[in-house]
Amino acid sequence: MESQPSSTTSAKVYSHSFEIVRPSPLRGGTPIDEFVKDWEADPEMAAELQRARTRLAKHLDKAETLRSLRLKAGLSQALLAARAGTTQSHVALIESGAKDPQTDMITRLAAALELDPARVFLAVRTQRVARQVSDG
Amino acid sequence: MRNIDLLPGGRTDLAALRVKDRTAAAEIVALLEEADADPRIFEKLTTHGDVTIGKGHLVNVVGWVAARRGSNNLFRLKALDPPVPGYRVLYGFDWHTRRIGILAVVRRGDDTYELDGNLARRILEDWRIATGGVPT
Repeated sequence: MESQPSSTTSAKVYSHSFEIVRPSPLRGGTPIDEFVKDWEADPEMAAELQRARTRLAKHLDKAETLRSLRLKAGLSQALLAARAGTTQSHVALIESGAKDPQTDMITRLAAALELDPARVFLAVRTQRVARQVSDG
Repeated sequence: MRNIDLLPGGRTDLAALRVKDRTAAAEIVALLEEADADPRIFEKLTTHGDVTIGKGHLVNVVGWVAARRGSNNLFRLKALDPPVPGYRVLYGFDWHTRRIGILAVVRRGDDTYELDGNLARRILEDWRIATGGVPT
């Protein structure tokens, strides 16, 4: 974390940069997303994973959500994030309903999923409503 | 979340399964990916009994009683719904780090769970190393 004061006429502005520190894996362990990267590098295995995710899509969500759209497209959060130019953490927050993406991000997610932005917008909204209901 | 790690035995078993039954291997990894991404699914992996994930993906989670007498928080997960019939995932949950370590992927019938068996010895050793021998 760094702080760099810069002065104006009557105030000092400090900027901070925060690095998200990922929790360490268990000793001898490989985080599953790292493990999957190796499999994704093999085209046949990548296709198999894509099919598996697509099959999983119908089991996880009652309504159409960003997650169900992602899985139907055969993508992991990491793959969708890479295609949309964001981070896996960001996608996770949007899918959980904890974060409300801006229009630009909706557009990028839609492009990554090869879908109409309106459909992605509705899916994200569905996720947020479901979260609000469960949060009470 | 990203709190699921593949421990050495789990990696070995999945690598072997990838050669023997690529589809089953992909199904298991896809399910673990989503459990890693969604805290609600993750939580269900430490809930005993028949657990519904999402809108209908029924899995069964059973604690490994004999191993738990040694203060090991070990479980076996069996996906009851197709399309991964006949395989089980054995894993441990470490309360201190709140991480799950995948210890083995076995074919049903191959898992005797006898503590003096080769598989059990491998699992318990991997778990001991992963957690530093601290009771979980």
